[in-house]
Amino acid sequence: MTHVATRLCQPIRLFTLCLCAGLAWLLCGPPAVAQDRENCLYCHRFPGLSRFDPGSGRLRLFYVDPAYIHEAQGPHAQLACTDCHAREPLEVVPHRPSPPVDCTRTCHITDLSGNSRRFSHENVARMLEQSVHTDAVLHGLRFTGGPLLADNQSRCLYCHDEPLFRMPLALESPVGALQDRAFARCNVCHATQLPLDVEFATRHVLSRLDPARRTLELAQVCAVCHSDPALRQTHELPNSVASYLRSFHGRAALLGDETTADCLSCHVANGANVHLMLASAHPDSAIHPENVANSCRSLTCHPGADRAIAGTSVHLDLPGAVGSLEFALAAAFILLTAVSFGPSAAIVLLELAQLVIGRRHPRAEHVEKVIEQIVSHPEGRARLRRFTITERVQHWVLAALFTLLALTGFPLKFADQGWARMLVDAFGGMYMTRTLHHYAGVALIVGFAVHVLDIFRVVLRRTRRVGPAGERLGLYQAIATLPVSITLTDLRRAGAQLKYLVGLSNDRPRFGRFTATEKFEYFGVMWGTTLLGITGLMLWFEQATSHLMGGWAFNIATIIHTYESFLALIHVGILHIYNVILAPTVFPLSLATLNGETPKSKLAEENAEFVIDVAHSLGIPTEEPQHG
Amino acid sequence: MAEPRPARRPGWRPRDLLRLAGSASYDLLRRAYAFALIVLIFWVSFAAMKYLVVSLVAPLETPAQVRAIPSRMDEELLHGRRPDWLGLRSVENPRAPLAYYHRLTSWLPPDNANTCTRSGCHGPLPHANRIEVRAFLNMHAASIHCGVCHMEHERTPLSLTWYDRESGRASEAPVLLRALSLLQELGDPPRADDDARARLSDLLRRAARAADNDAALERSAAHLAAVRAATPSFPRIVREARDVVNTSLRGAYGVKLALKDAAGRPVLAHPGTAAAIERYLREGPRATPEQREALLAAVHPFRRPAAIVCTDCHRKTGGVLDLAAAGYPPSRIQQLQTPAIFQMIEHIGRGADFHMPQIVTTPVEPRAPHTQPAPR
Repeated sequence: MTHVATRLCQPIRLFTLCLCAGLAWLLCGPPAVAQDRENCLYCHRFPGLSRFDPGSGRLRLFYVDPAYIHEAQGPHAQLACTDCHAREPLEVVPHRPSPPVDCTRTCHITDLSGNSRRFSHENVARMLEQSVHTDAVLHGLRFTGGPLLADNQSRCLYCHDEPLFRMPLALESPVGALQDRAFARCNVCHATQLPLDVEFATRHVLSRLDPARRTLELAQVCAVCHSDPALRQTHELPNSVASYLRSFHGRAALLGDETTADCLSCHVANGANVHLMLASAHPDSAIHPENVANSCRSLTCHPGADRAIAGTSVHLDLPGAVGSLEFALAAAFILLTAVSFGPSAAIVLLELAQLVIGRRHPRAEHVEKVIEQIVSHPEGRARLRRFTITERVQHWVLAALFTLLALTGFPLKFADQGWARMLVDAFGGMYMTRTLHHYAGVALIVGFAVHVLDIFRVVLRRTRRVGPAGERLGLYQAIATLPVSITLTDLRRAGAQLKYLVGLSNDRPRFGRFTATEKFEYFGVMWGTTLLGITGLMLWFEQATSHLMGGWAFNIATIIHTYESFLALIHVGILHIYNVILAPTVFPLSLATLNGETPKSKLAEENAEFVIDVAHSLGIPTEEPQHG
Repeated sequence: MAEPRPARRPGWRPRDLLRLAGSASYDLLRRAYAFALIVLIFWVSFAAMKYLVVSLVAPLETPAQVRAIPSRMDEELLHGRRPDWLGLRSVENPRAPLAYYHRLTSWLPPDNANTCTRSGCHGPLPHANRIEVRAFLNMHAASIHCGVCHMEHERTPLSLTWYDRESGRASEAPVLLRALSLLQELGDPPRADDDARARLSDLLRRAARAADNDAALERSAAHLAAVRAATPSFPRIVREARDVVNTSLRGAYGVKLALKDAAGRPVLAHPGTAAAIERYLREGPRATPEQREALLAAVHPFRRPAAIVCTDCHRKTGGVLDLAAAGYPPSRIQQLQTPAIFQMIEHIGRGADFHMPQIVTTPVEPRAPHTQPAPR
C-alpha cells in the first residue's frame, strides 16, 4: 500500500494520472447534441426571411446562417434558439413580439459529462460594473447619426457578435491540416459507443487558448465607439484607434500580423479579464503610469526591456502634437526633403524643358565629335568608363538591397493601403517581410562599412603618394580631391547650371567625371544609410535601446527612419530612375553601371570636362570652334 | 579613261524628303516624350510632397477598413455590395452588423437582371405592408422573380423558366435541384456507377458555388469525388449528401424562376416600359396623387389586379405553378405542398395565430459528426 502511495506521489506519475482522468472525463461524455432542436431553421435558413421597414429605416433580418449550426462554428452552435429567445412568443406563426435577449439569462446547457447544468453570463455583467465600461456608461452612449442598437437590445452587442471557434495561431497549420484524420480516429469509437462530439469539445477548448478576436478585428470593435466623432466629443476621447493604427503595432496589425500588440495587450493587465478594463487613472489599471512599464514588459511583449520603455508614446498623434519634439523633427524632415529633393527635381524638369523648346548648347555637338575620336582610339573606350568594375558591382548590390528594403519596409508606412497587404502576403506574411527587411538592412550596413573602408584605403594611398615636386597630400586634401567630394566649385557650377537652364546665361558649365547632382546623390546615400542603419538597429533591438536611451527614442527613431526612407525613395524612385532609364539621353537604359559606358549624348551634355580631360590625356585635339 | 559623272542636279529627292520627315517626326516625338515626362515627374513629386505635409497636419483618421464594420441595420446595408457590408475582407472573421448578432457570412445575392429592383423603384426586400406575411414573401424574392406573382399571364399553370441572376438569360433548373433528383434516383440503399457518382459530385460542387461556396455542399462534393461507387462507404456518403442537400434548399440557387414569353425568354420587366420608368423616377416625387397613379400605371401595364397568393402555389392540386415542369424533384414538391404548410398559410392569411405543427417542430435527425473515417 505504501509502495503504491509512494508511486502515486511521484510527480510525473501523478500528472499522468490526472491527464488520464481528464481525458476519461472528456471522452466518456454525452451523445452529440441535436442541432437546431426546435427546427427553427426550417424557415430561418432562408436568406430572404427579412424585411425593410421604410418608416424607421431599419432592416430586420430574421435569417440565421445555418452553417453556424450545421458546421458547429462556435460555442453557441449547440444552443437551442429558445435558450436565448423566449419560447412562448415563438410558438405561433408569425411570432409575437418577444422580449429582448438578455445575455445574463440563466439557461440549461449539457456539459461534457452529459449533465444538464445552469449557465449564465451574469458574472460578466458583474465584472463590467467594476470596469470603465459600466452599464450606465454603455447606456448613455450617443453616436453620430443616431443609436446603433435598438433600445431593448443587449449592450453586449457593442462588442460581441455570435462567437466563433478559432484555432490558436500556434496550432493553426498543424491541427488545421490533420484534424479530419485525427478526429476520424476518435470517431471510430466515440461516434457510436461513447457518443461525444469530440471535434466540438476539442475546438471549444482550443479556441480559448487565444483571444476570441484577431488583432485587427479587435481594433474594429473598439473603433465602433472610440472612432465615432460624436461619442468622442461627448466623452472627450482622443481618436485612440486611429493613433494606434498609425503606430508600429497598429500598422503591423493592418498588415495581418497576429502577434503584434492589440488594444487588450496594453489595456488589460496580464492575466486579467477584459471585462475588468479600467480607466488609466485607476491605480490598478494596466495603463496607469505606475503599471504601464510592466504592461510593456510582459513575457509575451518586451520582457527584457527597461522600465523606461514606457516613455514611448504608443498613441502618438503627430498632427495633434504641435510643439513637441516629434512634431518638430517630422517638420524638419519635410523641410529637408523639400530642400534636397526640390532643387534636384527642378533641374530635371528644366532639363526636360530645354528638350521641349529645342534648346541645345552648341558645344554639345563638338564634344560628341571629340567622344567619337576618343572612342576610335585604342585606349579611348576604356578611358571614358566612369565606373570601375568594383563600383558597378557595389552599385548593383546597393540597388538590390535598396529595392528589397523598400518593398519590405514601405508596406508598413502605407499599411492602410490595399497594395501594402498584398505585398506583405506575397512575401509570406509579416514575419517573413520583417525578417527580410532586417537582414537586408544588415547586408546594407555591411556593404556600407566595406565601402567606407575602401574609401579610407584610397585616401590613405593618396596621402602616401609623392607628387612630381616631392610633395604629399594632406588628409583633408586627399578627401577633398576625391572624385565624388563636393567642393565649392561644384556649388558654383550647380548655380551656373541653374542659371543656364532658366535662360539667364548662355554658357552651360562643364562637369568632370561626376556632375554636381550625382555628387549630391552620393552624399545622400552615405547620409541616408547612416541614419537608416542607426535608427533601424534601434527599432530592431528595442530592449537594448530602452536600456540605453529610454522609450522616447522609439518615436524619434521611427520618425527619422520613415521620413528618411521616404526621402530616399522619392529621390531614387523619381530622380535616379529618370536619370538612368527615362531621360531621353539614356532611354531605354543607361549602360554606365553595367559595362561602364555612359551614352555619348549624356557625356556630351553633362560630363564635357571629363571628356576633354580624357582627350588631352590621349593627345586628341579639342579646340572648340568659335560660336557666337 | 572613265567618263566624268554628270553633276547631281540640285533639288529635293524623295529619299531626302523622307529623311527630313523622319527626322522631324523623331524630333516631335522626343519633345512630346519630354513633355510627358515633365507632367509625370511634376505630378509624382507634387503628390509625394503633398502626402508628407498632409500626413503631418491633417487630423488623424481611422482607416477605412477598420471603420468598415456595418454598424447599422439600415437601407445602406441593404443596397451595399457584399464585400462592403461584410466589413474588412482581410480579417478572417469579419463581425456581423452590430444590431444583428448572428453570423452573416452570406446573404441575399444581388439580382442583376431584375428590372423592378435595378431601376431604383423597389428594393430587394420589397414587401413591407402585411405584417403577417411580409417576411415570408421576401423570402421568396431570392428565388422567384416579382413578375411570377405580380404580372398578368394567360396560362395556368404559368409558363415558367429559370434565368441566370447575373446575365438574365434563360437557364436550366438549379443544379441543387438536379442534384437532389439524381440523389433520389439512386434509390435506397443507393446504387450507382462511377459516371453517376462523378456527375453528382460535379452537380454538388456547382451547387456549392451557386450558394456562395456553401461548405457543406463542397464537402459532400469532395467526398463523392474521393470514393468509388462500388465501395462500402458510398451509400453512407450518398445519404449524407441527401441530408446536406435537403438542408441547403433555401433559395440560394444562382438562378431564379420567372415567367416565360413566347420565345422562351424570361420576362424580367413589363415590356416597353423603360421610358415610363425614367419618367416616373423623374416626375414621380413632385407629382400629385392622380398624376402619380397615371405614371405608375404606365410603368406596370401588365400588373395583376391582385397578386398571386401563397395558397395559389402551395397546394396539392390546381396550383398555378407546375413545379415538376420547373425541375423540382417529387420530394421537394411534396415538402412545398404539404397540407401543414397550406394550413399554416391559410391561417396566417386570415390573420389567425398558427401554432407550430409537428412537422415544423420535429427536429431534423442529428447529423453525425462531419468528420467520418476517411474512405480507404
